[in-house]
Amino acid sequence: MIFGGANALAIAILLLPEYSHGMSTEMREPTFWVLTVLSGGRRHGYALIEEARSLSEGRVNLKVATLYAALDRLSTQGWVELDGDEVVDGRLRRYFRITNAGAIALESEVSRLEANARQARSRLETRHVQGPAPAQISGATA
Amino acid sequence: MNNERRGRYLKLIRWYPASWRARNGDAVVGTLMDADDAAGRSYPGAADRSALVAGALHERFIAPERLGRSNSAALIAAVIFSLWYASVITWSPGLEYPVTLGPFSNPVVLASGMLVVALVLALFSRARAARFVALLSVATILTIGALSATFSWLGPSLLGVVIFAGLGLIVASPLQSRADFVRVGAALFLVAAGLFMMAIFRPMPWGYVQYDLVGYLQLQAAAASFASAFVLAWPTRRNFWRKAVVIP
Repeated sequence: MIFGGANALAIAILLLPEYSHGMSTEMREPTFWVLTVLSGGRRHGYALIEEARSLSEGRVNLKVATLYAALDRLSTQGWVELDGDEVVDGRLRRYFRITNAGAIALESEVSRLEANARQARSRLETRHVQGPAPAQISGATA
Repeated sequence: MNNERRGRYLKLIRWYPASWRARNGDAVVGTLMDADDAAGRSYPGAADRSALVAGALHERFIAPERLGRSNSAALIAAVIFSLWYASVITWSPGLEYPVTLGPFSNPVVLASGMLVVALVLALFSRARAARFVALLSVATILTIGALSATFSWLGPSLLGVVIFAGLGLIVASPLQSRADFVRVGAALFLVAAGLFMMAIFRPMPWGYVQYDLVGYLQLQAAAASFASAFVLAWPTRRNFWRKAVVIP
């Protein structure tokens, strides 16, 4: 009896939703752009920053500290890996490349964004066809 | 000149942990110099310098040793249970008994104290130390439970020991995969089985064990269960140093 209760408690704790894995999560913007840039081939730190800025039309300006924190995290997750070091003018340039797991994660994020965009586009088109909704008259007073 | 400039850049990353600097320092300095050359600067701007300070603080105090959500939830539950147990169940200031510990009726408060220490360590981002102390609390409560069952103390109840040990094992184990859940679940089952053998089929008093083969075998089986649970729940070297899952 006691054991049944104790084991049921343990099993209940282990089965709580927060313990489950594989929950979809939105990708942060630096992660998205780092993976996007690396999809084009191996890059070193500064090239990553510049290309992310260019591809995002200037919206994403990665700081060096942010970039290496993201690369560290993505390496831990197995989405990015080192692709060798080169010394140019006495400076170390560390190259990174995307892994298959990283490409799959990016593909999944792109699909999610496309699905969101389709829904938004569809609603906007409906609105254009029907015309804008009449303004609501508010009876609220200040 | 170049060395002097490099030295100034290296100072910017001095707040990062030594291991991080050894891993990333040269690449970061190279990238900073590339970026500043392209921008026509000889030193990083305020935004870059601030980001480096923030990044260093993050690496030093937050990123390296976070407990996973499941470990943290189990630790908070364990501490709440410990405090309730110590203040309601074992708080007996007037009790005269051989195994009382101060105002407490039995030494379970030692395990409670360890869990509180584990929580403090976790709050200061010392997850590995927190896991280790939580594992020590499991060893402590099992020892107290086994001694209590053998020598008939006013010790912890079987359910109390299972809850203490179960939560402690969850705190100590990095639950990041289905295999981790199976491992910890099996360890919990073995702990329960060992306590069952110790408490329900209570062996003869210690001095008579040598004359009682069944009791002796029960003790051996219980010890084997506890040992197997520890082997299952003991974080492997890879798991023990593994960082918590980071949401991208």
